[in-house]
Amino acid sequence: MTAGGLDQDFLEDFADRWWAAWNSHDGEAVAALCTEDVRNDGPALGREITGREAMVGYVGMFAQGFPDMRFLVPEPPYASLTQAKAIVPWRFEATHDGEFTPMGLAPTGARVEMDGVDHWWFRDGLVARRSMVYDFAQVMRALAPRADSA
Amino acid sequence: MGSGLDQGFLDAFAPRWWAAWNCRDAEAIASMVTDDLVYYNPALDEDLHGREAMFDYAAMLGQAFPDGRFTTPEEPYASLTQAKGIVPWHFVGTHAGDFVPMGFKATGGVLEVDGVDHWWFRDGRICRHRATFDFAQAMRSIGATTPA
Repeated sequence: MTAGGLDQDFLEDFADRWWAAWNSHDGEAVAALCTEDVRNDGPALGREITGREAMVGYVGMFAQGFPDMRFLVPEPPYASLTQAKAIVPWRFEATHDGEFTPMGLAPTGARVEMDGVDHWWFRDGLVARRSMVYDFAQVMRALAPRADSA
Repeated sequence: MGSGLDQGFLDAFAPRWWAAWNCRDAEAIASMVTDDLVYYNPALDEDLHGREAMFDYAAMLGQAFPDGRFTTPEEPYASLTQAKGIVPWHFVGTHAGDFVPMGFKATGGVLEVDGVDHWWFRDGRICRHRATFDFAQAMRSIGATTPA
């Protein structure tokens, strides 16, 4: 591995564990892969949350809103050559069968299929900061027509 | 370079790409994509096809955001398994002209958004381009509501 970069084998092994934890809807397992002071942000909340306990709640929020949610991995994660960081493509597939609290939206039964990427910054083999990038406007479009007619 | 993308090639290509966008040089941008390019970003309803469509879109974006500027927070990432790169960017621009695809009139607001590009290459040019960013955030930044 290049000086300062992230090891590809470590990253691929870590990513397998990360997505297995998410796909088991296991917030504790996700939090265990993060540092105590982890920072997490993404379009759904529109703000940053910090700490392992907040991560447990964050996973729970998605699992409640989307009880069949699954993250698929279209290609291997990308390790930075210059810092302890990665970019990780994913595809989210789920049905909105529960209340998704950030939007205060009752279940619509809408299908959401969304491509995005994560940025992961590592410290001591754990994610210290995570930032999700995806088009939240597309999620709202998927849910809104049914919300309007409800 | 196996079946992956050469990092040196990508490191050289990316600055040329962003320089072309930041100079609003639609011709230079079009010359860096294949004839049969497929292009998508969340501001569009559907894929754009072909070099001419890329030229027209770049020119339109240039007049909609005449001071628009892409900066890169870090180096681009070359795939180890395919002729592809993922490229983080940050965009800031004043919405001083109409943004035709969405029918937005100029708002004068400053649009600021972070995203990543996915670039698939063939013969040294981008043959498929997909940008990922939060269009809802982009619209909020200029004070516009997201069209349903």
